[in-house]
Amino acid sequence: MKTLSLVLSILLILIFLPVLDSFCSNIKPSELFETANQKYETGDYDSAIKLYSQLVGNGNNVNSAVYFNLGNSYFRSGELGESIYAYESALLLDPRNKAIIKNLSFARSKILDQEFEKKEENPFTSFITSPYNLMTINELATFFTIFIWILFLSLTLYLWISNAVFKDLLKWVVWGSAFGLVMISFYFFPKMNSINNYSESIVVVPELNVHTGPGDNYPIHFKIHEGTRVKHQRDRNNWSQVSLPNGISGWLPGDSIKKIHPWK
Amino acid sequence: MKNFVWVIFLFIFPLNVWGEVSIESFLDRYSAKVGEQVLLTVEVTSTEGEATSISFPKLDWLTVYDAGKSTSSNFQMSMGGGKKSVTKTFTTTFSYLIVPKTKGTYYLEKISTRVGNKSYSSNPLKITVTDSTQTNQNLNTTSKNSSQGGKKIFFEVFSPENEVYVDQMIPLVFTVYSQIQLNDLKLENLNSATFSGTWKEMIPPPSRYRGFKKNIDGLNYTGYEIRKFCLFPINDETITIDPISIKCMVEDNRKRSRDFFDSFFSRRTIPVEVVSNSMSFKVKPLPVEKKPEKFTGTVGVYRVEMFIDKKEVEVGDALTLKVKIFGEGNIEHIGPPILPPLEGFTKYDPTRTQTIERRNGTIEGEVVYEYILVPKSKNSSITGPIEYNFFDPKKEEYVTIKNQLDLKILPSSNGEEDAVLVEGDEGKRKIILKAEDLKHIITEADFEMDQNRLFHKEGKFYFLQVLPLLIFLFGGFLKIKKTNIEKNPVSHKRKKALKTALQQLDNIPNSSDGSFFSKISKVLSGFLDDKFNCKSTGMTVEEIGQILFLNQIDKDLILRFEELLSELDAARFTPMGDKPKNELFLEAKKILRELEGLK
Repeated sequence: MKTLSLVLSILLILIFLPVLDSFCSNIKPSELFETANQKYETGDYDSAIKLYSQLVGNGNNVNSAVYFNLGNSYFRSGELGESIYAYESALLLDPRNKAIIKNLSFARSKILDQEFEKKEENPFTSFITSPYNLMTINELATFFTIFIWILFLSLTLYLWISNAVFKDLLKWVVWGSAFGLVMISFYFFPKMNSINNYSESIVVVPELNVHTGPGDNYPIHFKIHEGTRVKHQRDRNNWSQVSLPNGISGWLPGDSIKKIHPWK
Repeated sequence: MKNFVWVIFLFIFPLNVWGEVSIESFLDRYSAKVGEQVLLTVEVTSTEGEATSISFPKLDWLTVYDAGKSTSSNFQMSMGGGKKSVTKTFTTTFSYLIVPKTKGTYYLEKISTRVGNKSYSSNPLKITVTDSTQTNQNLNTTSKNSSQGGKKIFFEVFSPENEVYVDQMIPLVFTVYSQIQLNDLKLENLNSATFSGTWKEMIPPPSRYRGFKKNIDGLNYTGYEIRKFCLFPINDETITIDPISIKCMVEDNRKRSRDFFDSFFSRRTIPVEVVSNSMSFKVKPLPVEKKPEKFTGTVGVYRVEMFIDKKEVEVGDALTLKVKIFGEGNIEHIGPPILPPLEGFTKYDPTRTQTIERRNGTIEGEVVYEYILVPKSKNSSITGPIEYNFFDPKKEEYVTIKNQLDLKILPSSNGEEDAVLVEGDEGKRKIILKAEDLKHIITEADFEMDQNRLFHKEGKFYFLQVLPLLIFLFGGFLKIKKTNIEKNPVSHKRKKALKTALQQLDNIPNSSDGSFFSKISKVLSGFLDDKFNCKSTGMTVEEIGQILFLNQIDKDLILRFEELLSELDAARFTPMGDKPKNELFLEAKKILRELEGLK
């Protein structure tokens, strides 16, 4: 009995540790958020940007609303690249939020390098990939966990229950949860892999030359503008090698792009 | 008799053994009109090596176009005087297109080739050239269908126009008509044609040519529209489209190979070069009469739409004026609209976006001019209509479209009378990004959610994956155990006998009456039942001893057990002190452990 109590206590601590942590913390993000919103409403976008950035920089309790509002503030103050970066970050945290999708699409429409923008997928591909695109990694992880629990608990019950009707019912539950687990795995593991190696970045300076090598002394390969989405490949001497959706790659100063990674 | 021997001799020995090199030439027809193409074939058969070139004498009355060559070779083995000899014969076919320039009867002779160090000449060919006649003036093709009669293949350029205005679209269609199978078209000359004096737009060719049937002079042809262009004349002068040659491979059904298998299994193709007719267009200047004062030079068949995104605008806020010109013509040359005086407005450089569709032999598309205008004060105003004019070549008149904008300027919501704006690109960028289309900020957020935490990277996630598995394994283990007990309960009782007995002993309440001893006896009896699978209740001490003996228990232990049972039996009825009572209790435990094999 004592052992069971100990196990239960450890379990509870593990589950509620993050909540306890936030209770103990002195930072009150909601107040900071409120102040930033007020600054935005009065048209003081620079102050709003500072406060939202403070929330983002803090790292804890960051959510899509902070990134979204930060994106709006940047957009209003004419910084297209930064705003797209913030919207993209918000979208990764909340992919079904229509306001984020709308504003990001609006901001993207202002990008000068439209030819590099992603082309629309066909309806069938969109349908197949919709769980991947519309669910967050945490939601997929939660569903994965739920299916694991349903599968193993129903298997355990199946061993112990002798009633034929219940056994038949459990058989369906086992098959259903196994199918669900396989399906969710198709989306969860690629997304997990994608996030672990996330390399999408946004150009945050108005215009810049992309060189063939890591330095100004290399020939200029092409020119890109703020807001363009690039894939970060590697760094050398404060220069980053990036590639565009059409396969062209080149080098640009490392501080001219921002890697989208809103997670801790 | 001598002549007969010679005839036999000639008959037996084939040409390539006897003659070694022969050159033969022929035409696909021996009468033609001036400007028509005639196919000349020169065939050189040689056992001494391959003929590499053909030379022509100087001929003023015709033009010769090279249409390629093909070479084949075969081996012939012969036995003579006990010796075996192998002869290799080369057959080289040279194809030319000849185009007579003047009428008359001519002899095409002294067409020669060199094989080794020797020169060989072909047979003379007679050709009659007559005058070419032009009958159809409406269609702008110089080599008319009627004049192509009798040819197996010809190449034609066609246009529905022959008199156009400067910058008016001239559609050109290049078509190959053929009665024979065409393979492997080589269109380098056509693709790189420049058409001097014009702006050229090529219509992308289809991925596969589709033929159409056409009867020309009573002969059925298959036509292939191989290229379409749209030309836009730059100046008011006559434009000439020079003949363009293309190459293609055609089936050679003119002369079959002598080899039976060769003719049966393979279809010989020969390269043929065909040349298009020339064509000219008269280009007229745009009329001066009724020419709008601010005409920007746009020519085409267009429609124009003008609109602004707002009816009311605050001082300092941007409005977008769009002028969309769409239709058929030289889209690249569509000029900007004429804006009226914009008093009190900041006007940024317009954005021009164009879409061109090159299909169905024409150029269609649209151009959108987008102006960002910002009223600087309440008194800003647009005085006059927006104007767009162009020349319509179909109607042969200038078209002017005007639109008066209805716009109300409101005072700034900030209370400021005048707006201070940044000029130039930077200002334009800021104005564009001040768009009202943006969704408003989110005012409520759940900060307890901690969205940016990655669940799958936390230990909790992995613990939650392992826990159900452990539960399943534990449940399975218990199930197996239960099943085993149910299958063999005796063995299970035997295993548990000591533990059960000791627990029962510990649970006996300490009382001074005889029930304490009878309970110990009962526990011992129960132990024997479980351990040795017997029914000891009601047995005498001797019978119990007998069971223990049969189970190979040590004799001393049996005696001690029997003694304990007797003492317990006696103690039930004889009161005794605590010390002997405890001794009996401990002895019972000790004996049980020893019976289990534990010291």
